[in-house]
Amino acid sequence: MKAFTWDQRFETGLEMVDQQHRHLVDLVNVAGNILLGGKASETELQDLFGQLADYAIYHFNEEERLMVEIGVDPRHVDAHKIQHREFLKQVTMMWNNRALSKDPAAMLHGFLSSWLSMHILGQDQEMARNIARIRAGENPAAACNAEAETVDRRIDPLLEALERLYRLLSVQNRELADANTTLQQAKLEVEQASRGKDEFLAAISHELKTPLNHILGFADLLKEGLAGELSAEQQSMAQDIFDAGSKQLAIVNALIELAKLQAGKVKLQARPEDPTKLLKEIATRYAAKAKASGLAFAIDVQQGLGEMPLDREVVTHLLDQLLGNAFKFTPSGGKVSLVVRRVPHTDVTAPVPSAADEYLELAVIDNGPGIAPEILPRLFQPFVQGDGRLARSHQGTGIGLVLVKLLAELHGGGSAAHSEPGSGAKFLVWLPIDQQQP
Amino acid sequence: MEQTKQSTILVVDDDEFNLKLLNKMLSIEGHAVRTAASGDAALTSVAEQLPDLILLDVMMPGLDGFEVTRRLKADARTRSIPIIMVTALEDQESRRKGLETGAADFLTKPVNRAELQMRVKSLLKR
Repeated sequence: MKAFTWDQRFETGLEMVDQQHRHLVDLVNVAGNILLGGKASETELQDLFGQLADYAIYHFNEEERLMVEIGVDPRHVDAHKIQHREFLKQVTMMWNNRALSKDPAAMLHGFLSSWLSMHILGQDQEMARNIARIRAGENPAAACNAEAETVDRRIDPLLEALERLYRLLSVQNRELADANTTLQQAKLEVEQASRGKDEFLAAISHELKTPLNHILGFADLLKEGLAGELSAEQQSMAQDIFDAGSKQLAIVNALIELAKLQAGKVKLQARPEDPTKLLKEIATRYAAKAKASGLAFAIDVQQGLGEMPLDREVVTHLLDQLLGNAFKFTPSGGKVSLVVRRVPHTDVTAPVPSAADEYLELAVIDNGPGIAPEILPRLFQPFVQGDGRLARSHQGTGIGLVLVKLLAELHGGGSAAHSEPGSGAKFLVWLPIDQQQP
Repeated sequence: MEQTKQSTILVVDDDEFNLKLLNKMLSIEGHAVRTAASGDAALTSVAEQLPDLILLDVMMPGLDGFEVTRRLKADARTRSIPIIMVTALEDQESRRKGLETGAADFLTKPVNRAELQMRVKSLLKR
């Protein structure tokens, strides 16, 4: 692949000079390829820079020899010698700084831009015109003074070449070469860490849940009188063991879910579907619960919601958390509602990871005691340390709402809470409907 | 199978609490329960007396549930004994593998009492 393509406009009209320029360009392209491959060994680079420097010396000397031979004005020859020294200084600097440079492509790019502008497109074009004038019979001093060509026309091929070069060398090299070496290593490390995390999660999940399920199993047999008849007090205690164990199991499950979400182990599996049926199923479940706990439960789903990308499991989990909380904190006689709408993005008041025009808004509203304003903004933060008051006054909500936030984000959406103490709370989740293509 | 005859169920699990729980859950339904704490012990128990049904944990050290099933299905005398495999909740791969090796049904941990009794009843009726 050629990072730098020769352009006809680079030609000076002096065959020997152009040929040498082309050779220098070839050397730079070899350098580009080595850097693009990301596998430049010290020896390869040294060899390359050696060739570049050697050939540059030869090239500048040849040009100077030509100038003297034709008889161009000494001012021109001197200016060229300064360029010559400058060029070599830059090659040497590049070589010396190679270890310091995190971005060899940018280094090469800088070098080429100055070389192209000063030498090929500047000095040498001038020299060529100078020589042409002398060959046409003009006096060398007059030819040297006749510099009138505008720089504008010459700058175009330079800009084009540099842009092309920048794209190829800088962007690709940075992305590919660095990716090949550094990322390869990083990928391995991440994979190892991720495997370790997976194993740890699986193990801890098993270790925590297995004995807990045994406790629940034995308490169940006891409380049901299946291991012999119990006194009323014994039966009640067995029930207490079962209930307390069930609560702990819910917390353990939530913690494991949280750990999985934070480790990026839960993958979204969204399929296009109309959420109406799913919402009805969830509503039926909670209608029965509402009846049992003396709450009024209303569901209001907008007609004709239509298909949208949904992960059933995530949506169910989200609503279970929100409805579970609302039911838990709304005293008997209170009311819980689930309101589902399509809303424009302007209605979304939470940060969302991906932009969409329309969102599915899931609102769970209760008329319970509400949430204190100082606690409200911290509801979605995981375990604020040293705040026992939050944990006590809102026991059980801590993990649930963090899960809501993470699940909503996993689904490309966001979440928010509104509340006034004494007048209930409103929890909102927005899920994108028309995922915009990046 | 006559409904009146007591069925023998072999419960295989390397966890003593699971064994105790499953044993109790099945015996209160009137089944005769035998237990084995490993795959090897299960094969020995089956060789001694053919059970009507086997409740088999998948994840066990030594011979695991798949291997035990494979061996039982390869033997003409034990081929027809229905096997209920007990797997972890999220282990879809085990279900696929279990079906391939010839398990009749699955239960996920923690085993629910009502569900266990229902599955067992349904398999014994066949």
